[in-house]
Amino acid sequence: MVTRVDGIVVGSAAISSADPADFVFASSPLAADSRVDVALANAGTVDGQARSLRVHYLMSGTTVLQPSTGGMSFDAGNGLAAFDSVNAAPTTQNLLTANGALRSKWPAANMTDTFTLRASARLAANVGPIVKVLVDGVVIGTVEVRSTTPADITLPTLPVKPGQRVEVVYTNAEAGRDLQLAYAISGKTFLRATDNALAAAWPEANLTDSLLVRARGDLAGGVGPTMQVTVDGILVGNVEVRSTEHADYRFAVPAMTPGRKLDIAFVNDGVVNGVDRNLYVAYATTGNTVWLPGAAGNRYDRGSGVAAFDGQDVVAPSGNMVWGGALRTTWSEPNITSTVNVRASAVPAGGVGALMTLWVDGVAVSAANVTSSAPTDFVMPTTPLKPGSKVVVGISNPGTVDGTERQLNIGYLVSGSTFLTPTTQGATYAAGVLSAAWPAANLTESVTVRAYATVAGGVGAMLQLRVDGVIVGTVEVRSATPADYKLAVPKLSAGSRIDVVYTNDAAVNGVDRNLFVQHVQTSNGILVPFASNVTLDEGAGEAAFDGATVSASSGAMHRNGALRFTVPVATASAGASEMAASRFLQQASFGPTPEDVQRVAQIGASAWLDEQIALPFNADMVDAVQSRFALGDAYRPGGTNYTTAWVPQRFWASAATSPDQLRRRMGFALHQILMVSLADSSLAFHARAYAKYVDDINRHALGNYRTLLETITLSPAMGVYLSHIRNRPESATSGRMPDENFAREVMQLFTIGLHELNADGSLKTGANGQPVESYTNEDVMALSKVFTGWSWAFPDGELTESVFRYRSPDLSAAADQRIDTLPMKAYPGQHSTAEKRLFSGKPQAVVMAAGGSAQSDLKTALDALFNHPNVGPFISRQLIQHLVSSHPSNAYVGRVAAVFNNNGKGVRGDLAAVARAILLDSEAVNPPATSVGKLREPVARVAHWMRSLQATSKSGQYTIVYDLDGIGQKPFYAGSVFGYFRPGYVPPNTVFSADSTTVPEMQIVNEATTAQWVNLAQRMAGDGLDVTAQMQPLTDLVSLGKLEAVIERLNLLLYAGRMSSTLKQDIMDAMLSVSGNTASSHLNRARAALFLALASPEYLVQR
Amino acid sequence: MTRPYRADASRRSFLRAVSSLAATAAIPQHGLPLASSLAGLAALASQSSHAATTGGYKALVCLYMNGGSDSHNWVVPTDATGYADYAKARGELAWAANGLQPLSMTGQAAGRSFGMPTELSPLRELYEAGQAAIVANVGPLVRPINKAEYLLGTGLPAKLYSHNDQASTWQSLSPEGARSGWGGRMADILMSANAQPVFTAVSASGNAVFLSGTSVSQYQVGPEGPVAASAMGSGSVFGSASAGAALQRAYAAQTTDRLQMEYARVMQRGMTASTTLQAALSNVNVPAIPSTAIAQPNSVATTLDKLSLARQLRMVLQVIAANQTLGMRRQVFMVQMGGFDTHNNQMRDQPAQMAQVAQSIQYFMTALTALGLQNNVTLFTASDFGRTLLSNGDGSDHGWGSHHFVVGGAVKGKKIYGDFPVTALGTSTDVGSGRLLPTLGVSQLAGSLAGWMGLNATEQQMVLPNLASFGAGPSLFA
Repeated sequence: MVTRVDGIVVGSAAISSADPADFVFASSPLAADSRVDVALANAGTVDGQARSLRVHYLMSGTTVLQPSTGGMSFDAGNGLAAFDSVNAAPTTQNLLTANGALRSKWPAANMTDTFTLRASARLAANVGPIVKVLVDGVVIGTVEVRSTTPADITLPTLPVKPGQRVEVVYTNAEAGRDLQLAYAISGKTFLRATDNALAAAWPEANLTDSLLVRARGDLAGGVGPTMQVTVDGILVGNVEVRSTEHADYRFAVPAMTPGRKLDIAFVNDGVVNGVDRNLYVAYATTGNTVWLPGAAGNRYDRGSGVAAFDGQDVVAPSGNMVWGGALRTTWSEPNITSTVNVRASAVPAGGVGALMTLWVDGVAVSAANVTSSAPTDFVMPTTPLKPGSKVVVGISNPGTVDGTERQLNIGYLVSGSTFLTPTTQGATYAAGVLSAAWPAANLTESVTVRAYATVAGGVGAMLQLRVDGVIVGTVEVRSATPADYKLAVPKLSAGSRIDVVYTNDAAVNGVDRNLFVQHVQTSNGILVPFASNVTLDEGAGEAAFDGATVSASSGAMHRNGALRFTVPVATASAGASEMAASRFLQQASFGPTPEDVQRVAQIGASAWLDEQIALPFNADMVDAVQSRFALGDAYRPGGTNYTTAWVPQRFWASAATSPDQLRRRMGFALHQILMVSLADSSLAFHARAYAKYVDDINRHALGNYRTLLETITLSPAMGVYLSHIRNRPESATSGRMPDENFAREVMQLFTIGLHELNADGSLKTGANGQPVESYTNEDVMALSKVFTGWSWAFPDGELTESVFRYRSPDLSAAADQRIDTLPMKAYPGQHSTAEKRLFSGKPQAVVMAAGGSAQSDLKTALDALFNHPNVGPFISRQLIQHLVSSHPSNAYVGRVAAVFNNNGKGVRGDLAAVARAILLDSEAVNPPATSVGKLREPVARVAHWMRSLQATSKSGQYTIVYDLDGIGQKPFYAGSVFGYFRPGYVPPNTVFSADSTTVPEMQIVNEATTAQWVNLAQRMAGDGLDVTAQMQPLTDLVSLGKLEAVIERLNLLLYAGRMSSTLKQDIMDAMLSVSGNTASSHLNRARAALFLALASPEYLVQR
Repeated sequence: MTRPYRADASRRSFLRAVSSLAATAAIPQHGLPLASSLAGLAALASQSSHAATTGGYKALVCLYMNGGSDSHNWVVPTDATGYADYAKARGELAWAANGLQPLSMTGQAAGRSFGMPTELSPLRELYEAGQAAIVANVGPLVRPINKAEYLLGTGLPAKLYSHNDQASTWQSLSPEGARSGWGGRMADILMSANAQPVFTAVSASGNAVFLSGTSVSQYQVGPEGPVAASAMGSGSVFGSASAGAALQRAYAAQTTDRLQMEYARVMQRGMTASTTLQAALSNVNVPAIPSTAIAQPNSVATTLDKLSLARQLRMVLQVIAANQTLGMRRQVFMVQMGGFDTHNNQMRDQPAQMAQVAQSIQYFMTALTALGLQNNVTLFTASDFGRTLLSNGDGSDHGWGSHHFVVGGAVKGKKIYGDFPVTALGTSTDVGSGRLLPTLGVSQLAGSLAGWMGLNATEQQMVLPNLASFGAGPSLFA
């Protein structure tokens, strides 16, 4: 073998070893690009054996040249022909079988890595084990191991590649000499000895993690503390900590899975010139785990060398290592398990952005490079932030380049349910560094955004929610139908700004991505995009908040931008006193108006009753008819413009607007007891007489029942209706008997009823256990004689039999004497002079001696009826049913009847006292749970609507005539003297039939009337009647976005606070489901709300 | 006195049905299998046992005259003695002899003859054609009694002469407060024959106890057909997409509020049924009501097609005509007319009432014949009570027994059933002022009608608990 360097033969040797052996040649220093040749000069075959030369590598200094790595050529030839570049070809062969030279340029130093062997030895004859270290067949060193404790032997090496064979060969084994191999390490790879041998393929890199140790040192004698880092016994780092400020030292370590043993050792403690050398370890971290020296479970094992690991002299763990020793720990589970969203922007300098570092309790848990001048979100890992955690986030590379100062601007931090802004109380913010104790959770509320989107390119609309500028969350809206997206927000208060931001508008393949926001539900109420104080600020990024391109919105977001809401002052729901007032007014009036509710809430129900009772009576019914009559004969009976409907029209007008509500409500209840119905064709021409009948009832509705009874008895309308007008006495000659009609009904319906009653309205039973009939047909016949001799009140001089029997008032304009508005008169000679016996055999027995006058008999008979003990309970129970409860308890009836019997001043029949007793009774004010309540009769439903919604008549005439035809109660057109429904009605096949609960209004409830009510409610909510609701107060609330207030108003005025949460939600949804933000869509929302409030089955029940 | 209605056998069969239903369906809390849902009722009907003969199609129509019709003037003796008695007792309320048209056969004693006012001519023609019969002096009775018993007050129905109570008694055999009527109790037994049990008892004129059974509830059809609430379930109410559905949910929701629950239940029943009925009615073709002029007292003349009774009957005809579409075999209907409480102005008002009733019935029969259903439907009249023979000078007062009509192709007509009383005061049937002591109980008339509808003797007694107290009723049908 001949070796040349730069053409100079530096040596030749005959190689006789079949095994690789080293041949050393002196040479001038080899420099890169030095020409190096190794030639075989004596190829040949002897005895069939071919002579050959294998050149494994050439090594000089820290450079190795291996044919197998390529870059050499083989120049065939003998002698100098081996170097003539003739017959030369690149090769990777290292076996030379023909004469020629392997030729190459000397490479640059390539043993740039180090290979460290950790080993200890026992010496023999003062000679340690001598080991040869081979890497990929290259002997990178031959060393004697002399340390008796594990020590590192470091050799330069070519970079060791995975799969290359690494071998440590012990060359001088001898008794007493011993070699202990621990591991080899190079670069980011280590290899443990197996069975005290190292001879294996080099593994893949396994020091793949980077462990950061933050530390500083006290230098002594110019030397800093040496910090050795060991993981699972492998020394992965050994540095001198020269920084006196905390600095980061990084070590390649195996993946720091939990359970690994970490030792950080301070190995060169010492005092030089009185200066103590110390090491201060702040923390170590890698991946998602941060380790603090002082943490529980750590040990500080003092000692030098192996003593640092011997378990002796262990003290409390501390990063302040003032003694030599090791901080020993077991690597924990990841604890940087949380993230904090940091919104920040930067002013870069010199093309370098701001390095933003997040420190938590002194640990830099994460960092990010901020380059954008627009606020951007950085999701930074952190240990879980606890209230009180010291949080610092800020720039860690401040500086000025070319006059530009590098800056970092922190917007805010959000993590979990907590956010932190530079303005959070206790925070300091200066020079791009925000420092604060982490606050207690402050995203304690949530808002729910109901939205849907058009998805484009498979991506939904990104909805970002900001509260007072803080992005509290972002969600992708993918649902094509309205869906709820819930996000945590800080506690909201009036004035809080909520922005719903759409950030990723785009069109993909012709599909435009859009976001449609229906509403935002907050704890302070619902926010709707169509409200007048909501703006849509279009634009991407900050342009969504710049106040430019601003418009009103219906919630549709076709472009990027922000829907900007302001949390309003919460709707004050009506207080208990208002609710109670409203409830009281449902019973005591034709329905609460906002003003009445305030009045009753202010002065109380009792004082309000006093006010009402004191109001003077106003005979408006006759006036209403008279004002039409005054228009001429066309408006009088028989005229083309005449109608009886003027009376119910006036009724509606008064119910809606008249201040004497108690009187009116009592009057309508008494009308239903003392029934005269315009449905009777006999009254078709008697609108004015009928108006007088209604006035009569109203006049005495808070007066005395005895007076009312007589007034009604002598009312011409009643006379016509129950046919006792012109009632003639019996005739012995013709056999004619007086008309029994009024006689029967005045007992059955107007005073005593069919059965004898106890004082509490319960039925008396006779000896046979059966109810006792309170009168007989004989009583009817006797009473029929009493009510003879009465007819129209013509002037006293004209009261002849002929006039009695045949003359009707002339109602023409020319001849009208208003006879029909006067009480009937007794006509001489037309009254039955027979003796009349009532209630024979009973305590109430009365005898009217023969020859009595019409007036005296009437007085006696009405006194007898009025004083019958049945009247109190009989009338009281019905009045309770009409005002308060369909099935009052007997005790309630008894209490009211007692007041009827004696108002406390010895007066019987005081209806004002009765009304007060009914309305202020505990069963009215606080009904027991078992109370059935009362189904609102249709008239009450409509009247209630008129008052609560301040309805007005388009025509001014309140022409509600046919509107209630389909729902079974057209006021003043009852089917018969038995009224619109019976007080004793118990609907068959219902829960009520099981226990005989009376629910009168159910008698007009059927498949048709229930459906018609919904239809009427729809018209009442719309504009279908002559009388229309004032929608403006509701519409104003809608346009302000105060939908809860709409519901609360309806709840107060129509439901007296009893509206169910389900219905409230339904009404809310109904309003929300109306699209658009025009005035007409606001009106539609109010109408939909009112419609549901009126049409819902809940409204039908008054409690 | 009031006897609570009991129908033990019927109750047992329904309770059996309930217990077998219980495994699959919720039972309303009050324990009765109510018509809370059509499906539930249909299931119940299909499981209730019945023995009634329910082949073919049959319908019974009650034409109820509110107020107590003065039937003394509807059928008037025309033989010399009879008319003289009549005229004497009635005074100014007597119909002029020349205003009466003769009945050619009556089946009453020899020598007696009867006529009907000209205003009732259409009804008389049906009678003469053998399609109408008269049932004489029928009224509520607990058991047959004589005048002496009446005067002693024994065996009397409760609350005689009281409108509401006697109306209830005619319809249910009990005074006001009765929970079921005999029409409804018949329907209880018959509803299992029907594919749509909800339409077994149908009212065209408001709630009436007649049509309530112990399990059947009346179905109310409006005069123009089933009434729909247009907003219920609508996709847009005032522009709201959700309000209609919300309202529908509200009416379907359960609540502990009993009134609200019952109200909603009626609504629910109506909504479900109206859809079915509306669809069925769209296929029927019932002749229109003729615009025959009907004089009206105290107001302008009108025509039959404008009047409620004829319109109600037309609605009933439509439901009847839809019987095959709906799968109905047995139905009970009720129509009503008011104004019969003629205490005064009787002679003014009665002719118009008669004309309206007679012409409405004529229209009804004509239309039935056109539909080919004249033999499948029987109509009968009823009213609170008859009236006094005696005049009060301008009208009559509350009475008791009265004469009624049974009309239909199946009726053995041209005959007066029962004993037509002597129309005079002081007779054995006059309990005072010419108030008639009934000689036929309502139960007897009802039993005959129930028999035609297919109820056997046992079932008739379930429906009419006091039937056994009477002798055989009128054999009105072949």
